[in-house]
Amino acid sequence: MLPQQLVGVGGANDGFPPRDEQVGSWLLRIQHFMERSQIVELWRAPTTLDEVYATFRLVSGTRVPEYLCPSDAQAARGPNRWGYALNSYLAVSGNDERVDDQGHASNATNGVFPTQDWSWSPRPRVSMAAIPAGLSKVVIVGERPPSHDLFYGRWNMTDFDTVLGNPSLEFSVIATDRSGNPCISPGFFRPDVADDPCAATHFWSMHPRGGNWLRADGSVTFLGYDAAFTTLPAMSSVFGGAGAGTTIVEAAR
Amino acid sequence: MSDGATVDGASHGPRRRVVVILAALGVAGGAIGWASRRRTPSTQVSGTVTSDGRPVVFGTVTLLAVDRRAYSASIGADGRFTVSNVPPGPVQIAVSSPDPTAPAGAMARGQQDAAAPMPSRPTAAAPGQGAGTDPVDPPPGTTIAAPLDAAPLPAEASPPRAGWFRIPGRYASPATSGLGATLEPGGNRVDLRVD
Repeated sequence: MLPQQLVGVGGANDGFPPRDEQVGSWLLRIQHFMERSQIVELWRAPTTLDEVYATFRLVSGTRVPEYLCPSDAQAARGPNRWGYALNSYLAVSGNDERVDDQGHASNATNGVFPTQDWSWSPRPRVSMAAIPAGLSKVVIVGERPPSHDLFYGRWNMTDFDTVLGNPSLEFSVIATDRSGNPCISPGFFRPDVADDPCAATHFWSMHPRGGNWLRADGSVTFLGYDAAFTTLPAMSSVFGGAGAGTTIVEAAR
Repeated sequence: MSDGATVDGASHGPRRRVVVILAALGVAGGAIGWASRRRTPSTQVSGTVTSDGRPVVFGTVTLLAVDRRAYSASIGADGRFTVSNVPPGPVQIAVSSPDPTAPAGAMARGQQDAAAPMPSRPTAAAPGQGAGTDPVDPPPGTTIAAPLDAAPLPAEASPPRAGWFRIPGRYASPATSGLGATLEPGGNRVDLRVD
């Protein structure tokens, strides 16, 4: 039986020992396409719980330069004090987050990277054919520098580390700034500063006036913050603003 | 001299015209700016947030306005809020009241989902030293950098705010809150019930 910690990071409850597609984040799975398959293939080795832990730690502590924005010198320094290497790019989980009875969000369902829930059950899958808005009209990855303490933004973890709603309603993780004032909610794409704890609750960039967004067609577009309340929320759904209320998880079943 | 004066006068003529035109543009620009300000006067929204008759003592009120921008303000300990410089017209409203005691950083979920397995194991090896006692080797061509050496984290948990209680989550999004108002120029009173 796997510890809850590993279940929480990617659905390792699907079997033991876990395979590479069962543990870690989407940033682990795309390693195959970055000519870095050796990192993913580490998951073929573990057969005991200790080896699972060690493999997870080894992978999570491996710095991947491509995941770090060159303009973010703080994140580029290396793993955080807990041994996790960082990333500057988060997948868009959708625009339909809701705050549950426990105050948690991180549960958008209509983006290309729907989180659905913390247990990943059933595991959401989205194909390109399930993007009715058209690939160029949907954003799948945006910028968010790691949190002020470099804790969140671990590239091999999932929700809030490598996946975020746009807008985000996830304020159960970070609720206040350093002065105890509440973070602005909802967390829309807006400028911020690296030492503000609230900065981790929304997409933003170290670049002035806006940030880079990856569309589903593979193109990268620099969008200004003035798009935060107009086109971007709609583009954060696979429906491109249409079909509100329908989840991609349901559509994919 | 007179020719020179004429020449001077002739040479100054266009300048004067330029000055006059610029002055006219300035006046017109000022008038346009004034008119623009007149068309979009500063609007202020004040009110209280209550739930079942109790004031909501912590959180934010966010207004999505006709200019497609968001305007936010904190909720005071007495449930009052004031949002300034919102353009008049219809607004959608969201009210968020997260737990004010949530740590502002590396603890909330980290204690559960990630920090636990990592600190319980030997720390990562220094660059170029592989994975130490780990039963697996680092991938060829990759290195594991040592964790950042930094001072211990300061306690960043916020002090509890007396009287806080959780409000229904649907009010956190303007898309689901059902809250809205139409703002008039000047001061507006908008009391929000989030039962």
